[in-house]
Amino acid sequence: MLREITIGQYYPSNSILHRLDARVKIIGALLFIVCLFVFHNPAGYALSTLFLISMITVSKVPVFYIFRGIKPLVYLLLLTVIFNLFLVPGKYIVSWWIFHISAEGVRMAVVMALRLIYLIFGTSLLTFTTTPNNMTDALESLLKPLQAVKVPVHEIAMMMSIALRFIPILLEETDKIMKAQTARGADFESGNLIKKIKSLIPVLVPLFVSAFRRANDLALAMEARCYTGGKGRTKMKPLQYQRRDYLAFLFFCVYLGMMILTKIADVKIPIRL
Amino acid sequence: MLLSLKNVDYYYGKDTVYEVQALKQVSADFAENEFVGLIGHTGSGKSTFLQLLNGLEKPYSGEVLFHGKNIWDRDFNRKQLRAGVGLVFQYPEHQLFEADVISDVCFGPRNFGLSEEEARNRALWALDLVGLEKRFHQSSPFELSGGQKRRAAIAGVIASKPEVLVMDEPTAGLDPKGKKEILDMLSALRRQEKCTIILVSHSMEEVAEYVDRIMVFDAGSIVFDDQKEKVFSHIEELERIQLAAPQVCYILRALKQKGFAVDTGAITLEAAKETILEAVKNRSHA
Repeated sequence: MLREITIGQYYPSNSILHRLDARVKIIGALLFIVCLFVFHNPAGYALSTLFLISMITVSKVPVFYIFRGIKPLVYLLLLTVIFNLFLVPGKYIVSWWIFHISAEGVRMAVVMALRLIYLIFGTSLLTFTTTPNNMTDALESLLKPLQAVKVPVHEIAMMMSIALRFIPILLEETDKIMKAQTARGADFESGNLIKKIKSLIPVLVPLFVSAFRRANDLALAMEARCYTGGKGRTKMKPLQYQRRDYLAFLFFCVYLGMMILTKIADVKIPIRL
Repeated sequence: MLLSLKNVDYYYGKDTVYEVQALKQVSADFAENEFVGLIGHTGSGKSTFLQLLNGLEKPYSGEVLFHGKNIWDRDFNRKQLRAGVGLVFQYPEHQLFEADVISDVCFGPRNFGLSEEEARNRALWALDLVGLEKRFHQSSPFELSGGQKRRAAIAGVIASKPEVLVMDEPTAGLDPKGKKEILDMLSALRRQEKCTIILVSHSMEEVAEYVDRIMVFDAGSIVFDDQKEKVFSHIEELERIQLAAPQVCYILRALKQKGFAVDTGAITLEAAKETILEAVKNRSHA
């Protein structure tokens, strides 16, 4: 049932994207997202699309896997589209009762939906190709400068990695509990909204109990191995940039350069509706 | 036939890198009032098999029939099927959620359409059967000890009076006394209610003692499905798939090699004791 939620999961493969230094991938994903929001001209979107498609192809992650990542966010997407569609003022092209749709609104709705979807794709590609362990190490390394202003970088990275690690565990647990309650005749699909929410109590209570139990066990296990936080902690596999990582950086620079170029040249393809 | 599977295939993560075929062309029949043991090492497909029995998982191909009707037919009521085929998962105490034990046990019967009073009577009956005393009925399930939680959770399924009771390692993590009590309770339930019990276990002694028929799973297939004595006579094959026969079988074999006229077909402690005493008596007479 819930096994379909793929966002935040790792997908094992042996592509170049998988082998890249996680720091490179994080910077790349950030760059992609920033570009998505800064350069909003058609040529920019075309370039982003191209970038995304090539990354997905290189990653060897099945496309339907990436698409499934949108599923849990479909309502958010829909809401964004609807709000933009009806609330953006401009020259109205459709008017009915109190509802007005402007050309601007249509454009904004499409743009926002596209941005959100690309955002999800970009970030899920990052988690698909990076193991949680690598991700934490990379984050820790990237955030190191913040230590100077007393930010507990290691602890934050550790918390994030635990949170990420627990997503699939808790999903599996939810699946198991739902099945067990279904076996006792629970019904999660039929009924009105209130009934549906009520039907979740038999799932949520055991889930919380088990989350606390797991957290407790984990804390105990970490203490038993003398974990005391980041101070003086060394790495078994320290991150080191390879040749391919520098090449990737070069590639990102080219991407950024081309993005800036689209802005300067201001390739205007006027959208006529 | 009460419950049967016909040529069932099941996959996890179909069409991904995680794809595993959990069951390969599995067929099985369960008649009324049977006591069947399922053995097989971890990952052999037992748990998947159990979830197919009450329609929690849908077979990729093949059929699951309850009273001769395909449970995946469009007009089949799978909710009522789950009242007829009760499934107790591993560590069922992790699914307790109500404020008190008796309400938790009532959850199943109430879902299956029983009135409040009937559900309560069923719950009292089930709690009595699993041996959870009255003083615990009103306490929070989270205050109970591990063994008591387990009983409360099992009562929650038994309360629906299923025709087939499926149990995934109900004795895992319990002390020897707790294990024996649960298994004795299952035997009693079967005698009283004439229901069929399907039991997954990792203890060969347990299955040798309690069940009549054994199904052996290996890598998604059923390799043996026979009377327990016959299954345990294939010690070598069982060992090849990382299982074993009950310990007494090994002792009897060793005794036989030493020249004692014991019956190596005995698989329970009681039967072994008798044949050994018999052999020793005969020897001293000779």
